[in-house]
Amino acid sequence: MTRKTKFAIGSAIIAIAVAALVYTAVRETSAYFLTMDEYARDPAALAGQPLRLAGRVSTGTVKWDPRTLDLEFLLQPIPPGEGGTHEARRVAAPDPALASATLPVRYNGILPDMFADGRDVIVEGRVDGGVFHAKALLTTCPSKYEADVEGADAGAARDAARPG
Amino acid sequence: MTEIGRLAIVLGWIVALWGIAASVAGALRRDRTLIASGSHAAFAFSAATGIAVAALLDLLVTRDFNVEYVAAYSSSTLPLWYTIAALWGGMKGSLLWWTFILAVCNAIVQVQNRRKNRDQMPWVTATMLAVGAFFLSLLVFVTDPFERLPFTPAEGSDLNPLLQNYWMTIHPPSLYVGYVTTTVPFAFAIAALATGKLGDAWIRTTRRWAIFSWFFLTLGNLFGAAWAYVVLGWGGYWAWDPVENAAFMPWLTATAFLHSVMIQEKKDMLKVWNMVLVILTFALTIFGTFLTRSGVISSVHSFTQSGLGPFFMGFLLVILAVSIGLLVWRLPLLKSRSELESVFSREAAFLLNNLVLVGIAFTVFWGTVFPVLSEWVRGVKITVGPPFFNRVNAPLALVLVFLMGVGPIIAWRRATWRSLRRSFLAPLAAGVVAGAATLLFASGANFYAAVAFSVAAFALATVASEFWRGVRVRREMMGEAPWTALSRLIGKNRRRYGGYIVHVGTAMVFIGIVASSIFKVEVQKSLAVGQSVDVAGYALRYDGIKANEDAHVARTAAVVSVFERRGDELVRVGTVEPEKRFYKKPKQPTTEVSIWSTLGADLYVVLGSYDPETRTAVFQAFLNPLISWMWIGGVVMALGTGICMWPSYAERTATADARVPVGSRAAP
Repeated sequence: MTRKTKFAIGSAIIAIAVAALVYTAVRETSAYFLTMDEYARDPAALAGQPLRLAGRVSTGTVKWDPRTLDLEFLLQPIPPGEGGTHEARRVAAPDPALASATLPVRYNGILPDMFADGRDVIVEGRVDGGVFHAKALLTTCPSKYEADVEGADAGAARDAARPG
Repeated sequence: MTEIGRLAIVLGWIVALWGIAASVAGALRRDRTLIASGSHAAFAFSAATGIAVAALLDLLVTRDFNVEYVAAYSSSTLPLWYTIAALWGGMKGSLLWWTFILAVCNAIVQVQNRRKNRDQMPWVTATMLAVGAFFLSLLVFVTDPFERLPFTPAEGSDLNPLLQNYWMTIHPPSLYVGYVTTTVPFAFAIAALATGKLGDAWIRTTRRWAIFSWFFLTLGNLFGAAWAYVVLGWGGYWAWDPVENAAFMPWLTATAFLHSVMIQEKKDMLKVWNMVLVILTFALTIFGTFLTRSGVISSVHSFTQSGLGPFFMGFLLVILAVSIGLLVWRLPLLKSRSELESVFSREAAFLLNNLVLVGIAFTVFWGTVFPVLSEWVRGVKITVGPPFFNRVNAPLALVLVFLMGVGPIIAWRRATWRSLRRSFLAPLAAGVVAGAATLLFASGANFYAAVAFSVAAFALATVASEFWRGVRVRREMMGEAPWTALSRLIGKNRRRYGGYIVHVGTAMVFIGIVASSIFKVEVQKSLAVGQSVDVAGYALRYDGIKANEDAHVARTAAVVSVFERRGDELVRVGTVEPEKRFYKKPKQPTTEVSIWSTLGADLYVVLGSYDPETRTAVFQAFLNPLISWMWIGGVVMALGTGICMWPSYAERTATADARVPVGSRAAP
């Protein structure tokens, strides 16, 4: 075996090791990223699966106990065309039957600054017994900036965290 | 002022196009006048973009809210310093700023090379101007920073409060300088491919630029982490968000390049690989901009959807097509004259380090684009989060830090068992001791922590042994005092020992990351005034609330005493004042964390919420062990890189040598 082949084999082993690491990590850590109405189409199939769900906090449903840090609210679909995130805006055909679907969400922890009634949020966790148990709660920027979406830099106003 | 700015960017764009055409035509027809004209265009381009930046700055500082950009990113009450920072607070401004930095680099390159690399220079000029022209064309045709509104708002909507932070004023400029300066090695690589002069002249010329670029990429990433840490309030500094990954990937490939380039210099190997790394690094900076500007991949803390995505994608494809085309065309000229001889050699260690670095870059890339890929392939959007990146990169990082220890002390060509034993015995022992100590003394330590501290100690020990050996030799040979020997040792081999100091900094950053991830403690509690909560060896007592307000922002701060447990008693060591803020112009609440920082650990306190009636407050506190090591390690890395960049006597003569026309020293 020439040295070149040895090194080729060595490099191949490293490449395979990296690929295997990626493969197993993807299998064990990935989550479906869905909008609320995509979820509402087939909730049964997604029960117990790791999910990342984009939706809107249904107005008047927020219950928060500052002593225990327990939060509960209902998540509803974001009306088409209003979403603050790309995912949310991706909503295909508006289905009137699904527009009113809601999902109770439970979370324990400090509320993000931008969390409020009617805000668009992303929750990460699993559905168990018809309730979404969120491990993470992320707020997306308020949809009021969406008025001028097609302007090339409407996005700039939402340039929230980092230019770059 | 908007007219001046607008005129400047339009003229700059035209000048850039002329410069590209003149340089390419001049190179092809060997026309000195045209080449000189292309070079002059590079200077004119810097002047034009400089005027445009000055114009936008003037509009910001005079608070002309009739200008859309000024109204969107500043307000009448925004402090002057942040008003200046608003220049890169939004997309249009940051594109302009980016173009300006590039133009300045181009001018510097012109001055540096006025008497050398004359064959390559027109191609360098053309490449850099082409990149500049692309950025400027976005501003000229797509998104005008000098756009006026049909009316004048009484007040601007203010800079995003999250950006009103000192780290944010230096993070984007550093990162941009790092990003932009990757263009210089890229331009010289393209010039080398175009002219067929593929010797190591282009590498020598751009070596310092590559280190300079790496210096700012490193700082940019660390400043960004520091910003996330003090501003975002979740207790960490890195969330593997696409925006962060975009800045991290070019750093990885640039790091790989800085190492593999040494193999090319010393052994004339890896020529194609180095070309690929230079191209990849530059392409990744453009890809990063594409990621953050297109909205293709959603990022939690940056919703920068703009219409610019397709432009960046197109530009990226052009870059890749041109570079790969040139590379394939010149492949026969890039044959290496020597080969790897042994697996136990410095060459092999460096090659392995390169594979791991590029492997990490690949996994980061894969994880970042995975949602898009899965949607294309399977029709379902599947995301991977921080657990994916941590799981994949933790073992790779361990290998990398281990190699960081091996690289500097293993022999070139072929290491013998004797030399291996002599150089590695002490560092390996240090590693084993550190690993065992972690398992024995650190509560909550797991296998990962032990291995991590073990490899870090090993890497630090190899550097220490190198310094020790060098100092001892100088003391024996020259009879110098220890400190004189040390400073002369570094001074005479700046690149080598500067590099070792960078390794020390990297190991410190690594230790900080490992300790603060594995041994992190988190506590959440609702407290009435006077109540306390324990946080792993510390206690926090909520003493009350104080509020103040000005025209710009209203603040509500909780006064919290910090106690440290020493033996059986609690000793009051200080106060933290986490805040809730309300920024009045954008009507946005924010949370301002307060950190009690020591070398051993940070106590990171967040005021979660506050009830004015009962005066009850909810606190979240994190104990982040050894996190200061990260920041100190960053300073050490910067220091080491500075030593590397400082020109040495040998390098100054090497530069003079390079000025001799190539033809005159050929012919054996």
